[in-house]
Amino acid sequence: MSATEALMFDKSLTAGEAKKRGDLRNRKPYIADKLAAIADMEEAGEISPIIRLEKSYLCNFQCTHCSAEYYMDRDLKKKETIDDRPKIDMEAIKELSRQADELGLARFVITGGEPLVMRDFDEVVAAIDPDKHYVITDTNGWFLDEVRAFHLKSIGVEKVQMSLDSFIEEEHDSFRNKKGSYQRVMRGIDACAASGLNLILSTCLINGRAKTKEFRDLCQYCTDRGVGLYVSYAKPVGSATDHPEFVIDKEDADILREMEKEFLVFSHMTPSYGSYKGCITVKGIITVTSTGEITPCPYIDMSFGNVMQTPLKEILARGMRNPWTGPHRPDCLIGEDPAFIKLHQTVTAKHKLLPVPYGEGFKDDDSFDRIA
Amino acid sequence: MTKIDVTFDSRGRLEPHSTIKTPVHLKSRNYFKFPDINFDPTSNYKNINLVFDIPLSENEFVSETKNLLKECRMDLGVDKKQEILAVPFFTPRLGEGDLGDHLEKKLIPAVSQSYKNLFPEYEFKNEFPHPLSEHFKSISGLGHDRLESAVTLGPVIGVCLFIIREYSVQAARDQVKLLGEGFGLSGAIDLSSVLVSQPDLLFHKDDYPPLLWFSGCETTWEHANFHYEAYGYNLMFNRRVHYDQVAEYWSHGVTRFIRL
Repeated sequence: MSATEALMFDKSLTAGEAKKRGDLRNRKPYIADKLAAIADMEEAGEISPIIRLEKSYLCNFQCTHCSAEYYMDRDLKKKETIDDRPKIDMEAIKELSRQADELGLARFVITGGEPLVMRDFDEVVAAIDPDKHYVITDTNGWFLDEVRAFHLKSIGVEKVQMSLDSFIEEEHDSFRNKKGSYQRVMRGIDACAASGLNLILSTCLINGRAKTKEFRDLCQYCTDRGVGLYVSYAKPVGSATDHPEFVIDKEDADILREMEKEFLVFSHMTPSYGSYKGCITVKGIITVTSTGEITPCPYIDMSFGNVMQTPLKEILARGMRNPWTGPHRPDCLIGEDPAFIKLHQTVTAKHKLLPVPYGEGFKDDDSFDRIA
Repeated sequence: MTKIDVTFDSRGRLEPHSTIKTPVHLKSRNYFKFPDINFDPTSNYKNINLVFDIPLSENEFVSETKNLLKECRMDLGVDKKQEILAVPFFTPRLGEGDLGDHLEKKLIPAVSQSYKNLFPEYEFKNEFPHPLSEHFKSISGLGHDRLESAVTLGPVIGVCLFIIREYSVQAARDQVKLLGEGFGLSGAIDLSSVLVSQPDLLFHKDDYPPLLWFSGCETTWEHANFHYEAYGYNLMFNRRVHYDQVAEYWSHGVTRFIRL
């Protein structure tokens, strides 16, 4: 066995996962090759973040915990602020796709806002190029009926990540501030199954929820249906800025870690086939905002650079050099580290337009002394 | 005595020497924390005794490891009031053979057994279930090589000090060289033995504990080094890249031992 082979991550895939990968290889061998190469890249110290693309913040919901609230027109109106920064267009997305491909990156998530209200959604998928990148879309599920699901599949979307914030209908609708949204999610789950779209459900973990029967019931439901449940820790950003009580403690995170042994449930901190990434900022995920700024995760409103001005490779390198985000930490930076949360709130509060540009939030000579 | 004057921060972290140019944090906010562990060789002896045949009485083990710690503190010039995290350990005779083999066949199973003894409801997991034979060696001149030689011939007892935190692996090596030959940089043998002796070293319910690098060893895999770390209430043996960089999460042990 070669050293590289020996270091390959554990590839004892589940039967379902092996089938999905086999199917992808038949249809999109170029993407399958890139995905298969990720383990080798990581073993060589390279990074392979998923790119979350926020082209538009338009949304038909107004959720209690929305991390994108401060990017939305409705919030800018409240602040009487006009965002006249240049926006990414299809050409910029094509260029981003090209640079990402060159770096061996393989996964894009279209997010927002609510992607399924975007009029140019299909055009965005095409600009990313679904034959070069594995395309995922986030959704609140409101518009995901069977017809839409089949359409998404037909234009090259592979996977849907749909939000379900409580297994109790009234609680979900209340958290999402949208009556009927729970039932739409249930319809969306069936639509994904019918159309062959891969699906994961995502749910927001607020302090104490890991201990509830409701959460356990949701984990059981997802496991029974064979649908992964992605758990996102609540972060005190966006419309949840004024909800510090949402922030989890280590006990919540550890309860979840124990539940991973029993259920098909995971967080961004969960090891995947032997790879323990810990906090995935930069290493496992980046967000590209509508103005081309790259932030290290969906919840940190401080940029590492603008992709319309700086090569993606350099922006990623900045993230890996930064003491907060690279190379590794086992906890969630913006969801668990009180000092960083305070720093983030202090810095972002001074800016009406987010994210905070590189140099004013994160910077070249960053250090922990800023808040020590 | 050490070759250089050393200083500690208020939480017992050895501050990096000014000559170190490899990646290291000059100051620490001590975000990643070991649990509060008192130096308690009596309790360590009991844990060891459940896993290894230790050819010493409890009193002898307590007395010898206390002496070792006293010497270490004196040589480092540690003030009486300064708290430093120190864990006594015992390593049985491993005999002739390959370090990777010893790790895979004797030391990792011993860590697993000790963890299960203390925490039957949680897991020790070897996240690298591949042969380790001929893939590990001690780095010459950093102390772990002397420990490896010693356990070829017979058992040892020692004390491991967790004072090097937030250093890249290379910076830890540079720092330990400056401490002199009385101290060695921890690796596969002593860290495994420490976790047999103190299986709760990385068990922390309130804070995240740091990761323990095998910095005194190198492997045939160019980009990776190995370590123990916690995952929630569970303990893991694993490998990781980016050890050439510094992170708040990294920590390393410094060891002094005697042959029995």
